[in-house]
Amino acid sequence: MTESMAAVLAGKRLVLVTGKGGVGKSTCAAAIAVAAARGGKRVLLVELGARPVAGELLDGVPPDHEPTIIAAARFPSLWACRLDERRALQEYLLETLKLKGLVKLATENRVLARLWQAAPSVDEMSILNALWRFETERDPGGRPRFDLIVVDMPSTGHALSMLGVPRGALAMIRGSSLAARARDIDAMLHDTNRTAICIVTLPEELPVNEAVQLADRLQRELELSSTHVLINGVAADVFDEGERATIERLAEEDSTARRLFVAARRRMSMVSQQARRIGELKERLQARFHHIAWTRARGVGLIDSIADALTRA
Amino acid sequence: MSSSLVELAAGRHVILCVGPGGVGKTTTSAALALAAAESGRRVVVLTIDPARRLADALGVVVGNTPSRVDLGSEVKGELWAVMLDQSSTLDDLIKRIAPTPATADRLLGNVIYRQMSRALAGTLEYTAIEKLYDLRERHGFDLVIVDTPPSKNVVDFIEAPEWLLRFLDERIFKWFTLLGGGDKGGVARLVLQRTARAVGDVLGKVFGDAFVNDFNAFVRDLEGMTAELRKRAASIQLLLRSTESGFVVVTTPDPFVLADAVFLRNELGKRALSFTGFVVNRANVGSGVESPEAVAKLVENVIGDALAKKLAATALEMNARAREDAAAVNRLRRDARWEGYVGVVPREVEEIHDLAALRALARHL
Repeated sequence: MTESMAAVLAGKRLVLVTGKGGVGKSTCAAAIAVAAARGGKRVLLVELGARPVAGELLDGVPPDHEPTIIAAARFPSLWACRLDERRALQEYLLETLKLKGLVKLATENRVLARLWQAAPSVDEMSILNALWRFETERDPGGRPRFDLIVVDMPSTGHALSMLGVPRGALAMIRGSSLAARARDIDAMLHDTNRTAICIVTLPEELPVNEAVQLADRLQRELELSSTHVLINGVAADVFDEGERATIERLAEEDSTARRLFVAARRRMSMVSQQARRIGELKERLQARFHHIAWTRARGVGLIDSIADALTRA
Repeated sequence: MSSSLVELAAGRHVILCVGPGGVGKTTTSAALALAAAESGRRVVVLTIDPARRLADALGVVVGNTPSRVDLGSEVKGELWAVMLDQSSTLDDLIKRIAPTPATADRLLGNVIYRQMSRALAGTLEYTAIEKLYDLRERHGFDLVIVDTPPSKNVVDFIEAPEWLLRFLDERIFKWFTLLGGGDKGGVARLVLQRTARAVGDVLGKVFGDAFVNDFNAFVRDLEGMTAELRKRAASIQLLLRSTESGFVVVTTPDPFVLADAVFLRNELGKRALSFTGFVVNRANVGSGVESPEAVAKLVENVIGDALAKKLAATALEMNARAREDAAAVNRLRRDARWEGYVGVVPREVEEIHDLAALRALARHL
């Protein structure tokens, strides 16, 4: 018997959810977190966006920089946080430099503060550092603070540049205290026992192309493998072959019912186009795939239904 | 009924299509550009579309310099397309404004510059804006339509010139010049220099001495160009804020995407940037048959019961989605407090592969 997608992902420590914008990354990340939390794991869902959505999606309070349980009644072992770049930077410098005075100077000096604000990839490094900390944190008994960390990552281009930041930084900062941490972070990202990259896509032309390119570039440029693909918004195929033929024929005939058949044909062509795109995706990308139905559910009902689907083998 | 988007674009020289990722900005930009060109204007569409789908639809090889799209001899206007190449756009700019070719070569070879221009986050937005300015000012296009990059944060793009201005803050340069300079000058300078060295020590501890040396070289070479870069960034800001430019927020009816669109429209308002309207892509269309009874009546004696039931369910589901999307458009107007232009484009079953499909899409705008 094959393990469910939820079980495979819950066996990791860090799940990074990315894909083209608008494909449902946040929803899928929340569903992966919920599926694992239902199994009793202590799960942290991490948000990075300008507009936090986890509170709305899980029907709880909007998360803060510090992990909190945001919907205690329904999900008692699910923490969420929305990382703040400034605070993440301060923590990062404090952890790596260990000298409070130095950090104070580095972040409060007006010139340096401006430099941090303007310098590219400082934010990305601080965020990755926070993920690394969550992954390595242990309670006094030596037990991990979180069993699983699910990250709602930026979309394709920014996810790629973010994941490449430790290596890019290592090229610039040879032999400093930050370099050691950058190496640790890079090692975590490349350890397939700890980290899984999950690509979300839609069964449409552009999202499929972008998913294939993303997986390819992750592998080629960063040596990162993305072996899990969620295909979101798959419309159900309700008509059988004979019914499809009848609908096609009646959509061409002049009758009062014609508009109904034309509408049904529109739905049918959407389904067959999706099937073609899914076929292409599976041909071009080596991964484990999971279909998520096109549904009208919203909010926590939607998250529950996706979590159910992910839990089925 | 207010005017169409094509009419609204008639009074502008720059249209920026902004919005969350995956909402169809590229297609909207291209359709609008085609319509404007067919109305007789000289138009260029600047895209960052990685899928090259737009190039295929337009039937041209699109690169970092404008290529003309063949619209046939009966069309008076011109349509050109450019695909942004991030690193060569920035390299070209440096070569143009560097005081000497040697400075340009040194800067282009600097490890910090190379990381910044190619690998690191943040520069794509600036290069897109720089390209837009170049197309308007140097190539003299009558209308530049920009398909903005998918930003991790939707406001990154509009903040790009400010981001550069911040980076080019003169004080940063002064400090680093002091850091590298010898012990000459008055007491005030010596005091400043001492502080600068303390800051340099911090950076050395944080990033390693190699980085500080590379960074010093980077800053020294860039210093001679900052005046020109600042002038450009300021002019770009001026252009974006002028009545010549208009922002179109592209979205879909999805509640989360729509909320992002409202957020973005408010951010534009805060920055006094001119907002032209919303385009809502991928709106579901109803079946045209309202109830199960109506379906039953229509198909009586035409098809069997089983198929009639499935058809009724499908038709009603399509209606429900169409109603939800129509409600979403109303909510968008209310939440954004916007009485002006909102274009609704139905979910197209056929994918855009040629000019005819693009033209059909433009009719909804």
